[in-house]
Amino acid sequence: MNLLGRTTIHSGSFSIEDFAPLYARIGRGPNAAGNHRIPQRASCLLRRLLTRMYVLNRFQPRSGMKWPLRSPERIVVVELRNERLCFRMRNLAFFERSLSLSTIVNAQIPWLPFESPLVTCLSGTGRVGIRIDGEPDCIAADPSSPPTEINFDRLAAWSSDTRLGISVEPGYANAISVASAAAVVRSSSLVIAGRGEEDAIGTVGLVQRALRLVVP
Amino acid sequence: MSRDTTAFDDDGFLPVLLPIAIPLVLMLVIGIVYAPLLWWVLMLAILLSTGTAVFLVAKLLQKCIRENCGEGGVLEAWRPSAWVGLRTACSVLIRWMPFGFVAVLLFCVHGIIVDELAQLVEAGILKLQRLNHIGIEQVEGLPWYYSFFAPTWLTDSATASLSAVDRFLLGILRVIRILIAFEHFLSWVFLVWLTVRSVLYFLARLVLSEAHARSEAEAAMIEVRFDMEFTR
Repeated sequence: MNLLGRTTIHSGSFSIEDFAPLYARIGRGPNAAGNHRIPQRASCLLRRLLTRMYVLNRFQPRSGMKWPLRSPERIVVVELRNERLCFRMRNLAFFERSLSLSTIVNAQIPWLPFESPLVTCLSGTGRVGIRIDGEPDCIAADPSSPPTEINFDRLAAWSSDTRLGISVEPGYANAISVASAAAVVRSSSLVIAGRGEEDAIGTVGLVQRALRLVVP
Repeated sequence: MSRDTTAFDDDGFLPVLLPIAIPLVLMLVIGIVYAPLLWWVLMLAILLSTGTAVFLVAKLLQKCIRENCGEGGVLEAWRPSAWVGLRTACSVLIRWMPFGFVAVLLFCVHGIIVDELAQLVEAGILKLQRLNHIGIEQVEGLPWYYSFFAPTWLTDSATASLSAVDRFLLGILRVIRILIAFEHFLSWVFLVWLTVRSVLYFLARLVLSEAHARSEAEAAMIEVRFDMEFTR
């Protein structure tokens, strides 16, 4: 897979006139008024309902149509060719109609406490847009190259052949404050993540994090 | 772009609404024609959904064991001896205990409040029934929420003599009783889920931080991969 070579980062409005019909989050994209549809109604049902992505906006790109973008938001467009890209639903901006949504269940202990076991994926041939706040990092790595470290919380999308090494700082205080983990990209065709550290959080934020261990 | 006026295509709402609407209409018709049949249909649906849930949980457990014990799994990479495993388990429990204690305390307070509400609803239903001399729904000696599972239409013929206001009140109280019974069940699910999630969280942080400290010397790292299938 040479996914990185088929990845484009857009920092301003970009043309989508040569795209196939798209599905996008309601309220985003060039046609906020909406042509509401439910694509692949049985796929990723639970996650889509919880993230208000069950009903999407479908539109047919026309000549001169642009995807509006405001700083500091960036859109990373990935062209898939019978490949599978996993992503966090909150980072999904749009995807072409030819792609299929699916779910894999990841029951590995280092993953489960930090993320949901249900990982959403897009597979097939077509283009997908991933939304990132700020500058994105697009990484490809193989086991022989020096590992690259990213902030686990800012991980947005990754190819299904990715192998991540997750590490955390020791200490009870770090565990209670849910201090973010680091992910080392051991091997991957593509990992898309936001650049930089997590924003500093105040006392209220810390209390809210600790409450996650008490309130469902 | 103008709204696509093509009548319901394969992505439209109709294919979603039909599978929900057809069973609902069918159940309504059965309920009107012969109510006891509806009861048996509901019981069958509860049994089937319980069986499905048990099956899915067993599959998830099997998957969890396979992915964590197999090649590249956390237990394979970490290789705890019995003593280290026991020590880790104790350490996780001690770390989780203050939060677990507060969570159970909150659950108990919530349970007391909901139970009081349920008693009020139950008293309301009984008073309405006694005032109007209709059959008593509650079965003596059983918890209040068991009445939700008992067929209540046996006494419904008597409710025909009630005034519209009393009938409406009785209906509302019955609905609240069903909602409370459901909430009671849901709160247990949440408590179990919260406990599992929190214990797993402390376990993973402990194991990962130990592996992180060890990796300096051994260059060993627990990897997370994503090449599995849903059913795997």
